[in-house]
Amino acid sequence: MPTPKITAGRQWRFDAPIVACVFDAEGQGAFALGDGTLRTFTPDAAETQTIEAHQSATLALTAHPEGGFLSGGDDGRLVHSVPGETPRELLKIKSRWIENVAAASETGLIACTAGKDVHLLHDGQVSVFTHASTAAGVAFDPKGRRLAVAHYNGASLWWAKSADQQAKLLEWKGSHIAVTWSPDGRFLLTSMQESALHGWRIEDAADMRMSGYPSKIKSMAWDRRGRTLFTAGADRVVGWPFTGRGGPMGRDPMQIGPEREAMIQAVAAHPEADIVAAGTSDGAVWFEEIGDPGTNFVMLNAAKITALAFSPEGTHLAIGDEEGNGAVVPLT
Amino acid sequence: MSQVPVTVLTGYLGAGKTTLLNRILTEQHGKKYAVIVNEFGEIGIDNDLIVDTDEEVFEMNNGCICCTVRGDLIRILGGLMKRKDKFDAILVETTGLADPSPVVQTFFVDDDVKERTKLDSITTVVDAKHVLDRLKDTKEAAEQIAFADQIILNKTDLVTEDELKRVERRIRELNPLAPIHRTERCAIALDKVMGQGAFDLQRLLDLEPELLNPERDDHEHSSDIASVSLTAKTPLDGDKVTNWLRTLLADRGQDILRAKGILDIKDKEERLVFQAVHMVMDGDFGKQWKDGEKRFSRIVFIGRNLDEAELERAFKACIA
Repeated sequence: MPTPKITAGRQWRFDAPIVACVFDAEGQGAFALGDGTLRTFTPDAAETQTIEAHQSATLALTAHPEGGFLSGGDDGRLVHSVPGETPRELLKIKSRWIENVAAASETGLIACTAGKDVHLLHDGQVSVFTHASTAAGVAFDPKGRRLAVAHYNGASLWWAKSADQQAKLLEWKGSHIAVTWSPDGRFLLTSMQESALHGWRIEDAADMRMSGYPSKIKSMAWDRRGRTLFTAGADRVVGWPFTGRGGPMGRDPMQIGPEREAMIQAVAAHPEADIVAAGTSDGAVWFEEIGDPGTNFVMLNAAKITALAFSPEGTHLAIGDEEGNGAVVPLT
Repeated sequence: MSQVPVTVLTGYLGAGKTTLLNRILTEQHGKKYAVIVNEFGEIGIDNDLIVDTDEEVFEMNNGCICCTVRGDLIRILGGLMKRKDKFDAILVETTGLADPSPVVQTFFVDDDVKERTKLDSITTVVDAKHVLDRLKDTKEAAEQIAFADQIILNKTDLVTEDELKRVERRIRELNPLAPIHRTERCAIALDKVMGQGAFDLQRLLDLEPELLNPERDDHEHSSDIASVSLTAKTPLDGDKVTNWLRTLLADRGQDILRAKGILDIKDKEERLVFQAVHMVMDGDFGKQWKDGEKRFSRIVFIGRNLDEAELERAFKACIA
């Protein structure tokens, strides 16, 4: 197969692995790097700006509800970074890594994981929710009022603003390592160490098993209408339908994209069109319109793609790999 | 992408693991080592090369194989691999009371861990003064010795030569293959601790002399852990022996802590080398037999409640 190089857009070579990339609501982008920095950019600029957010590696990144970026690092710090400003430390936890962060744009709430604890920041206060095992993933529900935490043997649900509560425990045997809510708030999905997805219908905690993946699912993305969950973990993108009361139960997933040998590592869904993008273990990135198999295909480098994000209006796709190659490609 | 070697350091409480870790963290060795610890307070050094963790042992359900792994280790190794500066090696300390199996199995079961790191050796620190007592009153002390690829026999200055010999004999009963390094205050060259390649099948052949002639004892088994070694001087049927090993590990893998072997397979010019940890086995063809060389097959099992006669019978049935 020919391997077209990226011809348009910008490319950078950083000297540390790219861990994540994200755009904030205003369309500023950021790469999080293993040297503790964020490299921020606007899609048309030639250069990135460097923000020294962490001392060692940045481990997690998301958009901050007030603009700019929220990151966690292996220095135990939770940091809010805005390009052109000094990064602001929101939290510092001794001898723990902050491996996951989440933010709710609706309520402005922020959460992060540190070991077994989830720290929730609200109105200048910090609440701590403790679990029996490490909190391996955290996500706010679409209204920003409830928090889901993935851990060993299931997930816990916490109300963001309620004191003295017991978590609602959704149990399923095994190690759950990431979590996402369906955009209508009806379903909660986790990725598992055992290379499977697990789901619960929130109203009655009904279980859903989605298995058959050859490797761990490291990336999940909802389509713009919230009807399909696109997942990595196989040689093509696997999309599960979440329409109807039962979601994917008893239905086949769709498989999207070219058949190649490399595993999909990262997926992203276009915010305004039925387009899904995927990055693979051999450094390829493709995007395809659902139902229209003409695949657009580029090769970043030979290294594993670790980060993929569409800009808020879908005009650009940001790509990062584990060797520090970053790119922003315009979609025309 | 190169794999970072990982040494797993086990040993009973007070054996001297912390002394060794302190040396690794403070000596001028020109290498960059990360150390993953569970008893953070004991180290007394604070820098970003030390990662503090709580051992989290998870059961993983992979088809028919059900095994335990260290969930925290999967995350931490993944996190360390994201750093800009690469490590020459990583050391994982297990708590004094830990069963070493989950940490070892993590390196065989998780794809990301396998891709970026490789298990270098299980090194067990043994307290020469107290080990015989610990072997009587705990089961972990025996497991840690049985699991080891090499043993650091520490605090040798606190016992007599006769006592040392008795301790070494007892260690040999539990583990006839692991080299024993005698030390005082864990004074051992770090390149003897790390870079052992104990799980490298090709280097398993370096064990050939020990495999051929494992130090045997008088079989006064004072614990249920022991070793069994099997020998054949005529070639084995390749299919039969691999099927037997596969079935044996699937059925009895919980009790078999370690197995290592060099096999002479009919119609093959190379030695078949294999090793196993509980249910996970890795095998490959290695060095060629030389012309006129005396061919043999030898397997050593280290485990609990091994039935020597039954193993012997099944092994002999694999002779071509």
